[in-house]
Amino acid sequence: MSNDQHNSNDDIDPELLQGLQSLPKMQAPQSLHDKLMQIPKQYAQKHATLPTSAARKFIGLGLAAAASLLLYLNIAPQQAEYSAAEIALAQQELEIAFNYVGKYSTTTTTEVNQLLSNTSTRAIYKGMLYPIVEKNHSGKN
Amino acid sequence: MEKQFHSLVSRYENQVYSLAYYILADTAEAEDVAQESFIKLWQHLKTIEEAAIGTWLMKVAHNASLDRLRKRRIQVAIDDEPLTIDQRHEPDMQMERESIKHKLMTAIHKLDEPWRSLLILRDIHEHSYEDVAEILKLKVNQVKVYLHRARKKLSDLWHAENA
Repeated sequence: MSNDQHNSNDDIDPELLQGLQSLPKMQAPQSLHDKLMQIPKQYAQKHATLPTSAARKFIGLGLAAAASLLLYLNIAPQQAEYSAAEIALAQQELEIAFNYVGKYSTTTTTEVNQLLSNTSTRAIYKGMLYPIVEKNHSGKN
Repeated sequence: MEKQFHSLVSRYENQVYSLAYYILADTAEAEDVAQESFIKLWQHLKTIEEAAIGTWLMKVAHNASLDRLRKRRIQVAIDDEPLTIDQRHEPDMQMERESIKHKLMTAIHKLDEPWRSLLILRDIHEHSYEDVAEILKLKVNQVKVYLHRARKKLSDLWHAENA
């Protein structure tokens, strides 16, 4: 026992402390001892015969994934083969589509920039001069 | 590993059982807690440092005991239990001393947590302050201060009941 304990024991009735320390430490019954000694075997047996719930879920997911893959492989259409003419036509159509997108994106960008520029200039002008402009305007009326 | 587990059972079974018993005041429940604790130990044995096994086990047993106590949600009736201990371990004990122990057990079980666990771990089972701190997730200084309070509370209860 440490000095610490002796120091902190000063705050308790000696009779009470003696009583506390004389309370017996319990001894595990023999039946419990036997059960505890069986734990490694029981756990091993349980483990061998029955997977845990997490393992069962994992196995189930794996089986479901495998089944889905098999089903997909059977149902999915075979990849079609294209002629050189069809490929050339598709490339041409794609080129036209890109040109179209490029042209309209330039136009749209210009329009958006103009709109933003006008709006912000108007907002700044109106914000700074609004009281004067408004006063003059109402004075004229 | 099984051999190591068996030696740990022999070394700690009484401590674990006794701690659970003093918290729960019920031999059957104390046995259940001991079993649960050692099953967990077997499951985690590889991951626990050997030097920390004792404290780890006591922590698990302490938590399991408190869980059961919470689930029970009734004041523990300990009227017969302490006398059972005395008869079993010290059959020739004087009646007066038996009576003191009985009253002490009753008083301890009237305390709330962590006061009860502090007295059980430190004063009855004589664990070090460091171990008590680890088991109860407190700092060592807190253990000392709280233990002082726990003893004061026990003393007040004791005097109130024996006035």
